[in-house]
Amino acid sequence: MAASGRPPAAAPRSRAGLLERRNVLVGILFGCGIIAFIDEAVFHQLLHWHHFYDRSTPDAGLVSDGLFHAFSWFATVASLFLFADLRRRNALDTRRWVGGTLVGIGAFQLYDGLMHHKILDLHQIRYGVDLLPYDLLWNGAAAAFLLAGLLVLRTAGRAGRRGDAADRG
Amino acid sequence: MAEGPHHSGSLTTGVGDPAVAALDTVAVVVWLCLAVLYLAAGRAAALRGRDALPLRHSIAWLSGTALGLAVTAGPLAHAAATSSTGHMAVHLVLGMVVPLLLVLGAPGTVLLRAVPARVGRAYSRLVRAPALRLLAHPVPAMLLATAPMALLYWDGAGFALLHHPALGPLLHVHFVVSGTLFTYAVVGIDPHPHRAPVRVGAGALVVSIAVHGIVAKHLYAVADRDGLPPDTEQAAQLMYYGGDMAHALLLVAFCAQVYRESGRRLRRADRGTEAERSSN
Repeated sequence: MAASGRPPAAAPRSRAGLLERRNVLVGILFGCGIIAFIDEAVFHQLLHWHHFYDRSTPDAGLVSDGLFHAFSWFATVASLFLFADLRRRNALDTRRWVGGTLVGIGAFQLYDGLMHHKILDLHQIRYGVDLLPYDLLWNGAAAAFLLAGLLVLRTAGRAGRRGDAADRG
Repeated sequence: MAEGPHHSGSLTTGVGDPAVAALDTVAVVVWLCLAVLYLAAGRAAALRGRDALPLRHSIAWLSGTALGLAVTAGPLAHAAATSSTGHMAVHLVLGMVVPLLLVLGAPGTVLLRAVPARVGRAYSRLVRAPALRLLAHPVPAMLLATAPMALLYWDGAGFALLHHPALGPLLHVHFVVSGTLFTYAVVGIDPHPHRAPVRVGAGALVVSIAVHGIVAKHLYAVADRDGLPPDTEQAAQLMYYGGDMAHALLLVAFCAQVYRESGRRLRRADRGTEAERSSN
């Protein structure tokens, strides 16, 4: 800000890029954490559709589930602190963060829906019903979140470039 | 500190009254000593003219020792001897919550402020010894804390060991010590001469949480096998969800510590650029 008269030096520029990317990354972490949280609260605890563990899982599924659970737990807490850090640095870019969050939600749910439910056969969405509509809705919603996130990130990138051009002009 | 008396307790066979009473006494003495030593060190530091540490350290340490006492002596400890669920609750508290509270008490800092410089230097040399340096690295500390836990609880076969009159209390000591070492290696607010990079600590933390969850689910999966206590299923669920709560506390402590340290670096950098600007 103090150096607005001079052309920006190389170092602060790459630093700004780093913080822009960090907005996306923090959003993705938050998305992964929050969707895992919603999955746990809504489908496991409230609806009782998912089972805690249905005892038919191969060991690979158990390990994958354990690692993803641990990662999402870590992501929830770490992303909130990283969000506070971005605010502290005056580097919060809401659009990038929201885009990242949507991408995180979509990617995590798609991984859960395809890898855990279908390939590793960890557990199903619901038991004793025709699964097809549930699977379609689950993975369709995941894909929609992912797509929406990518669109938001694209507009954020465009807005950023326009801002840069305005700065130079 | 607790090993000697535990052996004398184990000489009486079975879990008759004298053995239980002896163990209770040992537990009370150990936890009270830890609390009193901490307060005495704080008093000694004050007599040396040091500023008082923030109150939150004392609160953390004293609640850690109080919680440790509550689960190793008296009704809760006795319930744990007969019920798997009770045992699991005690294990969770001793292995994760008490270590976190003890580490947040910053005992190393309290000790260094209380003793003469000569003793302080000896302590620093001790902490820098290669063996301790290795143990206080997040990865070996994580293995030390999680591997025995995983072996003991994987399929419930370790329950017999946990209820053994001599090995049971020793395993309690192991849970507290290894948990404290791991928490110090990852979160530690005490000075750490060779603190590992944040991403190493974060990785060790995630792996330890994953192992805990996997072991809990596996225990749940085998809970209906013959020979396991009838409440094993409930114990496994408590291990999973209770573990999650303790892990959340650990993660918040870890992230808050990283956040605070990066804030300090940020302020230093700001002061640096300001100084540069004013000198231009």
